[in-house]
Amino acid sequence: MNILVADDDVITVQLLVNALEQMGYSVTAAYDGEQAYDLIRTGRYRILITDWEMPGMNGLELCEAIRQRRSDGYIYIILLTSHTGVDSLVRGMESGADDFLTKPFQPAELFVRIRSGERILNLESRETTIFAMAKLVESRDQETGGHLERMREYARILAEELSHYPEFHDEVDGQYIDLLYLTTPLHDIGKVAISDTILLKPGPLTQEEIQIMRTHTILGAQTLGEVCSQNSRAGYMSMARDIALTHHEWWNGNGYPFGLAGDKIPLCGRITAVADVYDALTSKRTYKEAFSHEKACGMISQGSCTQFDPRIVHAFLNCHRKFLDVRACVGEALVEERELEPALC
Amino acid sequence: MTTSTVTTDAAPNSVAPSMAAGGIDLQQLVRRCLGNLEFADRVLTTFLNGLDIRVQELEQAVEQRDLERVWKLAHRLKGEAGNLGAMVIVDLAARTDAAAREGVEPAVVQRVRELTDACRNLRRDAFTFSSLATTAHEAALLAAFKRPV
Repeated sequence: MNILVADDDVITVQLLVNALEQMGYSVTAAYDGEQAYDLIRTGRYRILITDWEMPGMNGLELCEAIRQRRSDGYIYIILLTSHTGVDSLVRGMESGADDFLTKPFQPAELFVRIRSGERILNLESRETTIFAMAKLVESRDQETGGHLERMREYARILAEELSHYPEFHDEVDGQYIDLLYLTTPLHDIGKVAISDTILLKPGPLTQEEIQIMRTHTILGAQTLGEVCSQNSRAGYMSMARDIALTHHEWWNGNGYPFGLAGDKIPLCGRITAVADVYDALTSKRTYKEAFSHEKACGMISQGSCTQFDPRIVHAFLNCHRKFLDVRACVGEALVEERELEPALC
Repeated sequence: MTTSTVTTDAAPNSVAPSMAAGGIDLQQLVRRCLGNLEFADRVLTTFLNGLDIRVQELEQAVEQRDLERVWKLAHRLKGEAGNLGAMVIVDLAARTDAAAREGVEPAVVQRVRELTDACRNLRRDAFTFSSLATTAHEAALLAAFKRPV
């Protein structure tokens, strides 16, 4: 992470640079507002620590200039100042600063404030990345955004219901539900690596083509796994990877790619499986009409203990009416589904 | 506007007794430098070397009755000194800053005189800090600091 420090006080700059470098950051110093603004425009910096009082463009003007420009990434700004009091804080925040650091700074405080900024920047990066990847899948598979939106809503409803079950209480909390909602749309990301001749083939697939199509689970998991290994802070991708890999596994071990059974299938994969199948059953395809909600409920119920975790089917049957609400809000569109019906895979 | 007089002998309450004479909190400085004594010495040297210029600039600004320049210089000096735990300078610079913002010239002249005197004293006392060393860290820092600045 590159950090830009802007202050006309050479001593403060020296101390900040020393502290930040020892914390492992790469730091550049600017000695007035104009120089800092020019450096920000290079796009190399995501965090700015700026003094309030500087000759020429002061810290507040610098904040305002940064917030007014169009940018492809958020700049987290910490205003470093010896101005104290609520009025100063309000003025600073109104100009676009995200946080304050009082002079003279304490290294420990500096560290936690920088970490706080990084967390916010990571959230932005995370949601942008996931959204972009999900859209990529969507564009390849000719599915409408409605599928992904419904899927994540269904997954959230199921997870919320499961959070009340004693056996899931420890695992499924608010963070888990948020992460599941965020990452479920990536379940089919591996399909981007499947050739058009198979993915977009009109009509039934051959056995060989089915086997190739099934590799989308492994291909997706490999891609997401690499993101995990290259960015230790992208821990959220591990759930996305698990979902991509296991959402076609069956509770009785008859699914793919590995034939995992029971609790060996990650919970996020088991939840996504129910959400995915319900949406497939109740959506119109070129080769079938949409099944009614009641018929879909019956089919999922029949899949309990074979295709699906019986506790998740139980949760589904407890809250199935909420699925209807989602369908009403996120309308169905024609889906060119080339893969075999998930329920039949 | 406050009219109380501050002298360089009157240390603010926040200054530990062992630091009062020189007005520099060495422990705080070393902490802020994350224990890097060589770096702390360098920072202190930069600060002390800059004091002569700060004094000149302040006196020049007062002569020119440029109160905005006075408060900006005092404000900056307050920040610099605060980083080093030079609390006497911080206190006097804050009072100068406030007086200049309020714009009452006689008070500003008085405050600047007190501040520049304190800066000169600090510059002079820079060679006698060793008497303040109370910890091994400070002693090591002061040993490095004994060379002329």
